[in-house]
Amino acid sequence: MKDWYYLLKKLWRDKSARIGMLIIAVVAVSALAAPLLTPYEPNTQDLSIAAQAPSFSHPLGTDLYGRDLLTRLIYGARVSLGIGLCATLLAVLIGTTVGLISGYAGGWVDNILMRIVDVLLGFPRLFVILLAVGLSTPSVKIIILILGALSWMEIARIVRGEVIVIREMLYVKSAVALGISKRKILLEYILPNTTDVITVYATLLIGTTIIVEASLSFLGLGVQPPDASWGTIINQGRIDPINAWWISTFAGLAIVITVIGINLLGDSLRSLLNPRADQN
Amino acid sequence: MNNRNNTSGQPLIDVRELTIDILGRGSTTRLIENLSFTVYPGDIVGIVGESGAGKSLLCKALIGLKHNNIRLGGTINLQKQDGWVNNIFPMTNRDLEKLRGKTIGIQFQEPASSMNPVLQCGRQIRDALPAIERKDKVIGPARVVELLQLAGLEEVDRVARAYPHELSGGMLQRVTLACALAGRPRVLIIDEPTAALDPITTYGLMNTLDRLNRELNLALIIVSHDLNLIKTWTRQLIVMYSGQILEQGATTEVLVQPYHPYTKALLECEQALEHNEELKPIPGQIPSLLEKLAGCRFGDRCSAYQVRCGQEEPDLTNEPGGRSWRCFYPVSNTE
Amino acid sequence: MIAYILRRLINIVPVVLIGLTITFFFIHLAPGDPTLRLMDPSVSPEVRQQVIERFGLDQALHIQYYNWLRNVLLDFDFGNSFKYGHPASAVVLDALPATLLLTGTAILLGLLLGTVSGIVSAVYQGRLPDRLINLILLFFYSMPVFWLGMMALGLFSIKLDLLPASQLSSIYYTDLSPLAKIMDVAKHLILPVTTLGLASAAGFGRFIRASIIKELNSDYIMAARARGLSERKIVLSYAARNGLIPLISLIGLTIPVMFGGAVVIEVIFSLPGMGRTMVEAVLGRDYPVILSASSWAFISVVIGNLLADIGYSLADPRVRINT
Ligand SMILES: Nc1ncnc2c1ncn2[C@@H]1O[C@H](COP(=O)(O)OP(=O)(O)OP(=O)(O)O)[C@@H](O)[C@H]1O
Ligand SMILES: [Mg+2]
Repeated sequence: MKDWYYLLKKLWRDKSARIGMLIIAVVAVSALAAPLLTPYEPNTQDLSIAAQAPSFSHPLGTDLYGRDLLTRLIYGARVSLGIGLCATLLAVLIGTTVGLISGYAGGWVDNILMRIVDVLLGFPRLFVILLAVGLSTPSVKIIILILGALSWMEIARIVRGEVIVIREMLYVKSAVALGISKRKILLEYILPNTTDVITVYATLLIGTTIIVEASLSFLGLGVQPPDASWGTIINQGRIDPINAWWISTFAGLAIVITVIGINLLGDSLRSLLNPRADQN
Repeated sequence: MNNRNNTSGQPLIDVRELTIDILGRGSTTRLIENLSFTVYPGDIVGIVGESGAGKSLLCKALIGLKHNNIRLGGTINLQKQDGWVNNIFPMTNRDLEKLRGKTIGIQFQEPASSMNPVLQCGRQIRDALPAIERKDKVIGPARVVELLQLAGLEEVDRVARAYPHELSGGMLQRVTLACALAGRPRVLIIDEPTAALDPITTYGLMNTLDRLNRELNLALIIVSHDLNLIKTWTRQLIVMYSGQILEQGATTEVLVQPYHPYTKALLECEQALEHNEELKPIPGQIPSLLEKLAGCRFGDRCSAYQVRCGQEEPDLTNEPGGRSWRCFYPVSNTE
Repeated sequence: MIAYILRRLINIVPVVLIGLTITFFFIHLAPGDPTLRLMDPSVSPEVRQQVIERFGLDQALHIQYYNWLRNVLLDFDFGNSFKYGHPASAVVLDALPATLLLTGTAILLGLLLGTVSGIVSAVYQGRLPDRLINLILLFFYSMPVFWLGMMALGLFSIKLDLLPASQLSSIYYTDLSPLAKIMDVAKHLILPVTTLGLASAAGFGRFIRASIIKELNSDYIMAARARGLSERKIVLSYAARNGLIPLISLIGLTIPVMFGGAVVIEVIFSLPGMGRTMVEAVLGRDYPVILSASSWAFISVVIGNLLADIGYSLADPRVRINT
């Protein structure tokens, strides 16, 4: 708990981390407090005010069904952020475990695990996610499962690569020579030295996942109406990109800004957790 | 400050009031304070001091190298082939490049990590040669072979082709030595040369260094924890503690009759180790550099501690023979 | 080394087969009836039955699998496309060149931009050029490719009418001289390739910057400086060289990501590539095309990874390939 407090304090002193956290906080809070923030309903259609340009009562305009775009985006944040977070968590859990075991055990265990990773990486991800989502009945839960279960392989590989290098380091070798148990070496000597990579990669993965989910929804395979993620809203804007330009533009900007926030935070985390890499 | 009896001409390195600060977030720590010493051609200077005393930082500072969170102050004057350099610190990196390796060669503490892991050793030695030699297709490789031999290596071709991870610690030690010698420096700084070597390899390496000193008149600065090694191989000695020089002088004199209680305590530890007696560790801890106390730095760990030691800081006392010490109650005077 | 490559190449076969088998069962067990999507609902049940029999869809799953596997292994025959009627392999092969052209040029563009900006950024770490490059890269890195594509399309094709909005070539393509043909395709590729290339450049650039900075802070760089090596040499032949080594495996990992990017780009710019074929096949439950396209995707990705591993071991002597 205290560690967290200090980390947060340090992050707050870093300008780009502060910006990142503020962005994330604003998006997250508005997602959570959505009904309090907007007088409009996200799904109630009113064709009489369809496709109105940004105005005072509808700051970002209305969509093709007369729904307030800002309201749609705020509610969309719930879906987009939620999917990004949950799927990443799942991927980190699987990936770290596999990478640690594979890198440390070596031999046939490593061989089999990496073969599995090969097979899964052999599936071009969006391609397969598309297949999986396209052939099932898409729901938020299924999308999270599919995204998480198909995103852990890089983490596993990166962790394994780190472990192989760390395993050869003197302090680990001497720990082995001292007869310290494998479990202890893995968890206390090796894992702490991989957390930097994991944290940084995981943070970036949240952003990537939000984007992948948006791509699915954009292709019409993700979150189904009347629910909407940001990708769904961008897709809707495709119908009339010139006259109703604001729909896709603002929905896209919502993604870009959020992901920028996440990446800013991730980068600062990296330089804080691994000061040598960012000494200058 | 000139504290040598057999001064022979111009000094090679003249360090004056060197300070080294570590810049933290919001706070700075003074690691080395007003350090002055000189090195003359052909000298062999030993530097001893506890771990963390700042010896490695000092070595790097001598050629104007530092990490970005470190600030150097004072002056360092150098003699190069064709003249005198007044204070290297204001110099640009581009100008410093021309000095590094050529005036002062340096071997870092860990030879394994001071080699580029993905280039062959021979190539890295060649990279360190002066441009004219490096670019020449005949002279370049020949110099690499010559340097490896100079560093005391035998299977020269194999070593030149090997990648750093394919060599043993002792061999790497010699490869980095070859790198350090590539620019024909007149002073060689060696940071903990033998920390990870067995006695025979250590002897071999020191022998090589000694030969270089005699044959090339190469001045050596040897940083070590090993008083025995210092006693055997160096002629001048600097004893450092907590960022200061506590005692310096001719090695034999200092070690036979130390003036500073710290030097004496070090010697007693060493002798105890040698005779397998029970160790007499110096009580207490090296003071944290963050909290700067009044009085002598060694103060509360000292066996000869008096009230005055806790109140004011002793200056360096110089003796005509070239010896100096920083103590109000030097050992020999009280005994 | 050669033995290693051969072994890895042979290993591709089971990898692809396992992948295809999983895909096969996944497809066949997934909800959704291909015949319903294939035909007008008004078609009589008898005709539907005929179609089902012709494609063997009424047989038990393991028999379907056995027949399918035999054809694939013996003849590389994935069966006929439900939608087009001719062999699925041909449908996919027709689409492959467009995708390879798109992803290949985009990766090259991305590598070029990414390497240059990564090196400059690392060398000027913390100073203005670095901050500027960082900001730009961060922007493109955080952007969904398809959105960038849509915005580019809206601006440059629809609004300003400078570049073609769809397809790989103009309708009068066949009448053009060889040189004009190349120019025509190039013009059609500018927007999609730039979009995809910028997106990958952002990833490459950020990666390279971090990697080179890590190298620049390592002891051997300090040691090289102590030996008097010129800063230029230290940056280019020590730090950048070493820092670019991990890029090799990143390229291997990027290939499948690029396929993903190609899917949305092909859909947006209506390019006749694998991605679009795949999306249509998935939506239309066109099993043979899905499986055939998957096999190609698997093969090219596995080969990409193999090349990355070989490249890595050539570039970094510490990583040895155990044969
Ligand atoms: N770049 C840096 N940033 C912050 N602190 C540093 C840095 N480099 C060194 N230090 C600190 O400065 C002190 C002196 O370091 P240095 O490596 O010079 O010690 P040393 O005398 O060589 O010790 P040893 O005998 O163990 O090699 C140490 O406490 C170290 O933690
Ligand atoms: Mg040291």
